[in-house]
Amino acid sequence: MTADEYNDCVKQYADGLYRFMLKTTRQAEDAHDLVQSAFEKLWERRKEVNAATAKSYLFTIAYHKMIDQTRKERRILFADKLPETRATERGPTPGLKQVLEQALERLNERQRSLVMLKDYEGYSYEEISVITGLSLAQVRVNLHRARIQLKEYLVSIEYVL
Amino acid sequence: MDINRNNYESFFLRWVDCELSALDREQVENFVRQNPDLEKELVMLQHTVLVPNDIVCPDKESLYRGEKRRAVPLIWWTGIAAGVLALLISGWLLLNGNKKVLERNNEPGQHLVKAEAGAAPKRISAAADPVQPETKQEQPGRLAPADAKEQFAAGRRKTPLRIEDKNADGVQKQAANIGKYSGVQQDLLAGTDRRPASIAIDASAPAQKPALVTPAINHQPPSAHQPALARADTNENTDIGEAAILIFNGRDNPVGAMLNKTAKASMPPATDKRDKSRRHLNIGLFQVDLK
Repeated sequence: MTADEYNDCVKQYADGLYRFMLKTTRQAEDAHDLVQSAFEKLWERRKEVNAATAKSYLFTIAYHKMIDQTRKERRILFADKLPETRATERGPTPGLKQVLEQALERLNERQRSLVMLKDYEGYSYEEISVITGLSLAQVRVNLHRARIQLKEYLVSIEYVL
Repeated sequence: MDINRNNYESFFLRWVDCELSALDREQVENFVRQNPDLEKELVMLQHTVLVPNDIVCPDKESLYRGEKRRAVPLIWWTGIAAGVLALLISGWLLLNGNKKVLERNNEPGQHLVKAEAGAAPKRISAAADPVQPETKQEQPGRLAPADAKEQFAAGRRKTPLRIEDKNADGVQKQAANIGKYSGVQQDLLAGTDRRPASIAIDASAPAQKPALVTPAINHQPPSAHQPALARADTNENTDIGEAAILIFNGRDNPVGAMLNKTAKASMPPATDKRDKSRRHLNIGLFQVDLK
């Protein structure tokens, strides 16, 4: 990868990678540090990384660094179940997008990452499997569980309304 | 595998994630039409798909590497280098020009002659220029070269030809070929034997001061009593750069004094006291009028 190709990667993928890290960590400063770290790694390994696979490389680096970081700091709780908080206790009912954002925050870190890789970046199950290091079956099962939890949250809000 | 009411959820999830083949997608859509009670569940799963936000990475410029980040210092250094180069070239041209002036004026028997208005100056031999200062106005009825020769032969004329006549007679054909401004020339008006042919002093008004600024600059036509110096290069088509004359008074300012010393050192002594106080020094395209 040349310097120009690297700069093209910054132009194309920096925003998406930052959004992915921000939604996952929910910390802007951490997200920016992770993005910077991922691009530094890409620059160091630019001679070994092909421009066509640079995006996958960036997301892989950022994802694993994020996992290491959150495990150390224990900021993110791995919860398999949605909290029992009722929607009526959170004030005025926001729009669908805001409700979905709230539901996304209630997913565990792995599920949230898979949903974002799927919806924001459009990766296939196979590509997500490569990025996250999970098996294809794990990706599929975790994604399906995440969708069902999100759907249940939306249904509960709709029921309340 | 065909879709049914026991396994439809897996098909619905893969339909939302776009992980089904075209055939399976069509199978799911047909199944929903046949089971409308499950349509709402499919719609709710569709609503779980996230819509990308317009989130921009802050300080993205810091991530760029390579040439893009070095662009600013390169431009800065290029500007400095261009300035230094321009100064060096200007200095070299100035020094080289002064050197040429000194060499040219040290050549024995050679000096530059300004041509008539609108024409380029020509180099002629001093030996072929015995003309004494005479009134050189555009006089009506001026003799043709042939008539001048006849007058000289008859003893009515002291000199065979005036310089203007020689020019017309083809004496200075060689000078005409090289008669272009070289950009640097020095003109000394001291001495009758070195006076340019086109410059003549009005003998009827010897005490009149010559004009210091040529009409080429102020675009005013020369008066009849102005000496030839004021008429030199007074063509409308004359380049303003060529005709521009800087006036320095050697007695009043240090620049003029320095140029006056330079001119005295490089020029042979003047023989005509009337013109001893006036010297010209051409630097580049500028003619400096010295006192």
